[in-house]
Amino acid sequence: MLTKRAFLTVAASAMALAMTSAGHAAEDYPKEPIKLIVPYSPGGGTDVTARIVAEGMAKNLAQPIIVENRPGASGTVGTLLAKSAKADGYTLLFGIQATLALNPSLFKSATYAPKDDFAGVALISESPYVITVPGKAGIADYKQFAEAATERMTMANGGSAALLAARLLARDAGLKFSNIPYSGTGAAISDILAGRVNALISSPVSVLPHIESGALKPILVTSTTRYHALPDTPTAEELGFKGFNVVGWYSIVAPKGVPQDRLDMLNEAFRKTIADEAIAKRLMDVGVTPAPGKLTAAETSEYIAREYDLWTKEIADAGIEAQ
Amino acid sequence: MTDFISGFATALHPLNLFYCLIGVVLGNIVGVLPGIGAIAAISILLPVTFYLEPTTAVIMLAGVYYGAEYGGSISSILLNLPGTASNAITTLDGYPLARRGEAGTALLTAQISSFAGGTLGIVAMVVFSPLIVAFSLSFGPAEYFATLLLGLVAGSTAVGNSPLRGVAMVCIGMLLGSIGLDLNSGIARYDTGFPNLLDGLSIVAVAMGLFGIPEVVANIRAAQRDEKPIPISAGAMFAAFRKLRSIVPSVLRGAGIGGFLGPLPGAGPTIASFLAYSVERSTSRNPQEFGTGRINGVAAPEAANNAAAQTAFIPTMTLGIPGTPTMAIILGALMIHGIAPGPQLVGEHPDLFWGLVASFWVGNVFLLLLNVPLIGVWARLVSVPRRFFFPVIVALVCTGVYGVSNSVFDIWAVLLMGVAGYVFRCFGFSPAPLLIGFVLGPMIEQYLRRALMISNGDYAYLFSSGTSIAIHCLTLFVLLWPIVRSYRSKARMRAEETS
Amino acid sequence: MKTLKDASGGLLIALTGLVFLIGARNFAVGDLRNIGPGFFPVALSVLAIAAGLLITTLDVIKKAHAQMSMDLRALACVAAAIIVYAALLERAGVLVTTVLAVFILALARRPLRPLETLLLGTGLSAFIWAAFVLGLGMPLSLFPDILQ
Repeated sequence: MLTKRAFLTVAASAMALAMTSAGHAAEDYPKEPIKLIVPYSPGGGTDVTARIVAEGMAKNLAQPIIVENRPGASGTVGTLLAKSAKADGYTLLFGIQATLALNPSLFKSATYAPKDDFAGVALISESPYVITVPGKAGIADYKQFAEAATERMTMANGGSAALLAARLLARDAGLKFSNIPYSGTGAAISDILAGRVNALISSPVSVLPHIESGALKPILVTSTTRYHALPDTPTAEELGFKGFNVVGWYSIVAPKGVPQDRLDMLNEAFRKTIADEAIAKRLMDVGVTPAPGKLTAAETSEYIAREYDLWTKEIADAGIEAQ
Repeated sequence: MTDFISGFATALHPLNLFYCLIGVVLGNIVGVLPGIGAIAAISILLPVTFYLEPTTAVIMLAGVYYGAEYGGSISSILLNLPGTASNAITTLDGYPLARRGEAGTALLTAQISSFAGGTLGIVAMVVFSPLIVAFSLSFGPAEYFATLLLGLVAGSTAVGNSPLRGVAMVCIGMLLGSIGLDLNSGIARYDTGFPNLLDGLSIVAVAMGLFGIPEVVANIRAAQRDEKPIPISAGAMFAAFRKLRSIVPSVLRGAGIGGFLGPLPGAGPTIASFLAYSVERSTSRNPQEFGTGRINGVAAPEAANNAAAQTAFIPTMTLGIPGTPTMAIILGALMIHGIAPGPQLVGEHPDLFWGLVASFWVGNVFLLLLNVPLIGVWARLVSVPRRFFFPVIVALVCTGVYGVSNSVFDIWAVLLMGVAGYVFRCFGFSPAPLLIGFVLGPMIEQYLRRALMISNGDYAYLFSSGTSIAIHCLTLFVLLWPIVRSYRSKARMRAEETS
Repeated sequence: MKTLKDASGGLLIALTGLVFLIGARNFAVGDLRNIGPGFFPVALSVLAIAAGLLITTLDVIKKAHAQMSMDLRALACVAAAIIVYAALLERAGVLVTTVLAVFILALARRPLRPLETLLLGTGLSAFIWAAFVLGLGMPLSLFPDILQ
């Protein structure tokens, strides 16, 4: 349905474009559907979040936002596509920590410079990582966890961002454990539930049901503030690692060069969207903690630049070479 | 059991019936269209599910999933195009049957076996649900390694008369599967500078290229000399019904294998269909007839992959472990409604869980009622002059493959795999072992390395549980049984000669 | 010589294995306790080369014949049609691409039936556009994208 409408509007706007000349003022924006490139497969957590946000923003912009999935190469394919799109505000990119802060340092094929190629539109969410152990393991708190963390301890992770968080914690806390990589947290859960691995670092949402059932015990979260659904779980900072703050984030960005007033307009539409309680709740339900929504478009650019610099340095310090 | 019956009250609610029907019809259609697969249809429907009750939403999405499994057999049989990897093995006997003019028989067999397999899978869910959870939790890297090894052995010996050729193709398949980022080291293997290759070759492109394209090349000119449509006999359907009794044991064996392997994330239905075929072939009195159009070769894998498609829901719903990307979307749809899949799901939302299970059976009945009358139509399609088929196949393959990730790169991959598949075929190599190597290869490597990491390099860990030892014994049996049997039959023949 | 040609299937396997072996030369093999990213590719390549050479040897000894002869004309036409899709689908739209591909496929056989081929191409384009673009929301257009 959406596509049919989109086609009609595209056809109509093609005619409009043919008749009028370019150079219209920003108040006309947006006058045709906006494309949001999601560099991941349809239906995954990232895609679902993007669709919820896109739907809400479309209402506030009075133009449809069409989500286009361009998966491949850990998000690199879609991100490169957005980089080369026209900077007119009609092509946006769903940018996440992995694609905008990590991948350029991890993959040679990620030939984009997040700071130079993209401009921020809005920061959607921030979410920490949580370390859990099997409830049967008899580890009650961080102190016991640290005592148990020897070379024989295995720590499962479901992706590069979680792995980096685990490495940073190991470095700052002086812990030793061996990291076991999995392709996604889902695959790691049965191994932690059965006790085949000793610990797991993951987003809270994927382990919450198992924490509630008592099968898993949370040890710490990696943000500076406690996680809303785990009020009793301490943060790394509370445990003495000052300034330790590793969070995953979602954002919307545009190719560099889009006029600032258009970016601000999109940011405004996003703020209205996130202020809608129904949408905020829907995001919470899929495990996305909406960011306060205080960041302007320009501040989002700064946020992404900071994150990029931080991770580029951490990855270099960890001695990881780009592939 | 009473829960299951009360689940029917939910499943038979008119609204749920309606969305179940939409789901299975759509799933069936995308299953028939090569390449596209359930995931595209589900992601189209996802926004709709925002406005539905969670139970209704999941009933519809699940319907798309197992409906596609049904539909996949249709293009496998008629066009030699496996809709999914788990339908690939169905082409081996289904397509020869169709070429022989027995498309009706093959389709009917596939539909009945799918229905029976699905039904038995649902029975297994209802009766053994807690056991299945315990079973899938007991599977660690060592047990997966054993199972995947069994799948590879079954896959390389399943087709043709030369196990050596099977092994060679499995190796090539596993090498192709190793393309892309290595999870453990982060190293990109064989990416040759293409970012598209970091995630590996698309399974759809490989399957379509290997099975569909060589078939087109081999026949596009042959058909010129033989323009006569393939005959289809009117009595074929009745003959098929009479033959159905002979497939009962195959269906039961297939459903058993499928129901057992379904809960294993990743490749449950695929391993199940290959293993079921391999078991049929090695327990048959005439193994050389497999691959030439035996209905048992259609029945067993179809029963297996449909049974597996049903039991696959147990770990998804009760552990929150999605076995496939499609399952991950269904989980996402639940979470949008604030329902967290996990151990508490069955207890907290019994109406949802049992309503869903009951709807599976309702959906299976829909699919059977929908497809059996259509068999005549599909079968008549085969009598359309074949010169019309080839452009349709090429066009559907190219567009369908493009749509998986909206990428022309995948069309180039089809070109490469199609040409390679045709050349291999000319030298008598079957594509089936290559495909199973491609699917299972990366997984077997991953599990072996994970097992070694967890055990600190101790190979004894691979044999540390009863389950893994039992599976390795089964692998040895699959490997050795054909040799033992051929030796015995030779001995018997000699004994007969002397007497 | 004829036999060697028929038996070159095994050589093809061995050659494929060799290509993958060369490609794997920079991957760390690791050791048996902690195997690296190169372990499987190297082991599989070697196995493929060995199996390929063995197949060829056996075929030569048994004087085996190839399953069927290669039809280069058909292969070229089908390959060209796929190339048309890969090169044009996003730029020229569904209609032009499909009609062109259908004509190329029709060249594999004589006589060429222009009207029938055109009708088939047009009908097929309409179906693809309806099913894939309208129904499944693929980002393709029916006609060449004049805006770009």
